Amino acid sequence: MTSAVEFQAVSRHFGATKAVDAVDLTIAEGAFFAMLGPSGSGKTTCLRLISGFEKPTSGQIRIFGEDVSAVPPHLRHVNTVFQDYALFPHMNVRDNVAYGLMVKGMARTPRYAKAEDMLALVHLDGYGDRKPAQLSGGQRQRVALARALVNEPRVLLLDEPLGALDLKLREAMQDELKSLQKRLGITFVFVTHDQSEALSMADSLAVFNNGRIAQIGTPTDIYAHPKTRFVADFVGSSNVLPPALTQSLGGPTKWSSLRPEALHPAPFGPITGTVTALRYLGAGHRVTVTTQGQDIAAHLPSGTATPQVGSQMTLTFDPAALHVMDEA
Amino acid sequence: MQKIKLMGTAALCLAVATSPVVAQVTAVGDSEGQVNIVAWAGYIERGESDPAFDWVTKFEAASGCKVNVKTANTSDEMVALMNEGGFDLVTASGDASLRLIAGKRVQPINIDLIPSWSTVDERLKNASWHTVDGVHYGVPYMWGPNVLMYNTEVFKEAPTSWNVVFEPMDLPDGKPNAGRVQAYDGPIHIADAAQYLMFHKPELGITSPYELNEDQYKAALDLLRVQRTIVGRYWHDAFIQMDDFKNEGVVASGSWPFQVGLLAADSPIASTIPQEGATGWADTTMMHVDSANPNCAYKWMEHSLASNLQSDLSVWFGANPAVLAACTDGRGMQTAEGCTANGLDNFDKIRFWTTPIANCSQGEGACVPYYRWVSDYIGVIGGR
Amino acid sequence: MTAPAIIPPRGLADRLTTLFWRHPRLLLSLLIAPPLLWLGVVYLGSLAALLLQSFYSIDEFSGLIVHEFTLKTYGELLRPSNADVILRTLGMAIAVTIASAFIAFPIAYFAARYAKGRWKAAFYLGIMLPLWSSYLVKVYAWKLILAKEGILTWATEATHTSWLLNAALSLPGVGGNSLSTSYIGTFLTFTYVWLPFMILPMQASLERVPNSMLEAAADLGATARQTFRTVVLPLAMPGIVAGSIFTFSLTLGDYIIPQIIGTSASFIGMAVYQLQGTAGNIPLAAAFAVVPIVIMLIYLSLAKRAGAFDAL
Repeated sequence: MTSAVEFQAVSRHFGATKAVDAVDLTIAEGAFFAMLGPSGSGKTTCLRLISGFEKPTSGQIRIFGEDVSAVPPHLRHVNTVFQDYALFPHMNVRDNVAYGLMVKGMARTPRYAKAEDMLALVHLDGYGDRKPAQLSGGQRQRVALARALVNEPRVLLLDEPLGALDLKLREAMQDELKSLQKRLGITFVFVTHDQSEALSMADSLAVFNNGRIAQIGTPTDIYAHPKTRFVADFVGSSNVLPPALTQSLGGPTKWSSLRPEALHPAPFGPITGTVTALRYLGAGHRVTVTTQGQDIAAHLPSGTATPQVGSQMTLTFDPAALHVMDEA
Repeated sequence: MQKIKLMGTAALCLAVATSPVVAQVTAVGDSEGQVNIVAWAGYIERGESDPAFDWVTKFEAASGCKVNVKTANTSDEMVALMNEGGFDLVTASGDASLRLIAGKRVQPINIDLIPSWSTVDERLKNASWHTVDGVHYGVPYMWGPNVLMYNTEVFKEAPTSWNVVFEPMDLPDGKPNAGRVQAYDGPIHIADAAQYLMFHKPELGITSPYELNEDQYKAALDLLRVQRTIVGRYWHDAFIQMDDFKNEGVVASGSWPFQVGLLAADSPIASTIPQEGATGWADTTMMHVDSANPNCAYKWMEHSLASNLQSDLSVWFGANPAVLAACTDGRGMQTAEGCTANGLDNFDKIRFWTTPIANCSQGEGACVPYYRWVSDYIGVIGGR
Repeated sequence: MTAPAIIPPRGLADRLTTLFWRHPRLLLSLLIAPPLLWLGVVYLGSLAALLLQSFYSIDEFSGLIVHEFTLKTYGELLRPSNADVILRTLGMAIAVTIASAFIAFPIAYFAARYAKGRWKAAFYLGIMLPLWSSYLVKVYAWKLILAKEGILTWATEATHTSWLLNAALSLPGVGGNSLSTSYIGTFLTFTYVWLPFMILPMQASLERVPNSMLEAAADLGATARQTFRTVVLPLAMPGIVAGSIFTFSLTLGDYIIPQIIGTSASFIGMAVYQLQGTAGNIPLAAAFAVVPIVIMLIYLSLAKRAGAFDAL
């Protein structure tokens, strides 16, 4: 099976800044692929390299096996949902969605029919006559989606697609995007800085840091087995333990990570320290225990007794949960 | 609004004549410390434009009257300022002076209190634009003709007729005059055309170029329509006209001695008053009816007739002094030759500018009033 | 001792602040009353006075103004010589506006999308600099450039392109003896003088078009030309219309340039100037002055109907 997108040692430098630095990447056809990373990590540049709005300084990009170095954006079989949606304010929703067909010269009747189909796909039937300014954020997002899908792209790129939505809407859209991707069977590549979004939606994801890919794999793989401190820290607020502490907890002299959910209060245990903070999370509490100058967070489910700030607390964990990383 | 109402001058003149004359000043007393004058630009120089031309500083020292000048750009502005009040004197042109008299904004002048009155050019002493029914409403200041300015390289001899700027023809250099002549960009130019017709078409019966009945007026407009075909651009600004003679290849045009004087210094330019005569302007220093500084006003009027002032003024403005001695007595910069060049000897050939009104010497409502001159001249220049 | 919950007002200022806080509209009305008064009385009042004057007429014989409501003066506007003035001015305004739009667009586009930092400063300086010098100086300078024995003539002779200049000058209607005495010269000067007023609003509107909008168009398959026609131009339209309002109305009202450069044939502004002076034909001057206002109203309503303000 050919891969949908393939990067071979792709770099994109802006002067001295290495936005993307020697990245190798393969995105399988039909995948829901996430690019996760903090701002400035190179994930958005990677997306723009796929869409063609950036040209690589070096390296080669292939889309479905074809080298696209010399192909301008409007000739690529790739469409984008922009972060700010970039809907055309002077056109109504129908004309926005039909835009891709209009520039290809499709007659009005079939292109409007297809636009209506697309609007139905994103549950916006009957909104065709409105102007983008008359829509809510979630509705605009759907219009942007419909507009990008109307050209039947083989790869759909989504740049922080849910970033501007509130929590509730975001969760609903996550489910919807996921099911849409399943139904259409096309490759989705989306960029996000929200690790929970990436974990819940993607089949596989790449974690970016400083223009390079820190780790690539399935969500469970990355969550459970972060390869570096950065990944452990960024993907889920894990406790990252220095080599000395790892050793004192029975591990090798290497960096390790320990999920807060893996820690439980107990009368006896390897970790004893002072409670320095307590935070209510709704579904339980997060408690911070300081030991040997290191803050360790533990998750206390609802119903567990909550300690006082300043009191002593002992924590225990399943040794299998201690994940040792390669970094010494 | 005021000035429009004043345009029915004829009727109002009558009113002035029958009403009792405003009391005249009978003696010039001590200085009030200042005198406020409304004047044309360049008329009252205190050496700020050119140190050589200063006829204010010494007067202020000698009389104790500080001279405050308010420059006006049009006759309408002068009338408006005088209506507002707060001024003592105004240098009014022929189209403003009668309006000021009719509107009772100026007072009669006691010529006995102006010793230099006796030196005033006899031709100006009783001129109709400031003397009504034997009463003098001001002292003459300066006058000038609208001359025919020409390029001496094209015209080896001075042109004898205005026809070079009115009718299509070949000039002495063998090339046609189209595009090489100019005319004044103001409705008053209709009077120039009428004056030309007075000479060439006596059957029209024109007696004054400012009093035209419908037929005479139509003939003048027809002549101007012919002129439109040979004039590239009309002139309204003295300095632009000078530029046109230097850079646009213009070789003949009606003009003022002012431009001729400045151009003749470094260009092959001269001027003449052709056989048909010329139109011209004459200005008078008039005194406000409510003048707050009558003593200083009288002192200035006397000073304004000093032959050395008149002499310098006529050089500065390229016009003719109201005092003939200014040309010859050597107290100023002017010379007899200079006065001749400015057209001093052509007084009789000159028809002085007055506002055309409907009720003229040809009868009540017989003449075409000025407002129609304006709209029709716009049409003529627009090619209608 | 416990402190009181409310700090006692310390003087008039505190009391006023409290008053304004409780009645926000009071402060607003106090703030906008003077400018509104100015706008209402001085601005609109003078316009109303003008309008009123245009409904009076001038008596044919005495030349006095008849203070009676009549449409006779507006009828005068239709006289061939007056209609000429209006059509001439209108034609010039249209030509100047179209030319300005075509010249300004690439400049504004470059400035809005590509110029950064120092280049942007240079752009603003280049556009604004001519505005800082006196309008008259610029017009006189153009007179010298366009004169028969001027720089342009010299340049065409030096480059052996005089035939081009002569061909332009021999065009019927717009040609003339030299550029500075022809409609072409008037047109060139108008276009130069008003160009900044077209560039600046255009540039502002182009700057407001986000880059992602252009990328979205390209992403959806639009060629550069299609993007320009379907996205850039409609979004820039409010700026183009704003600029054209400037160039159009400034040309309609100007009376200096056609006096100095051109054939001396009257434009509306010149006609107003001449009619309100010694002529005393205030009604006709007022009627002439109303013409540009009416033309602008028609123009704006047409622009609105064409959707020029949809992207606002």
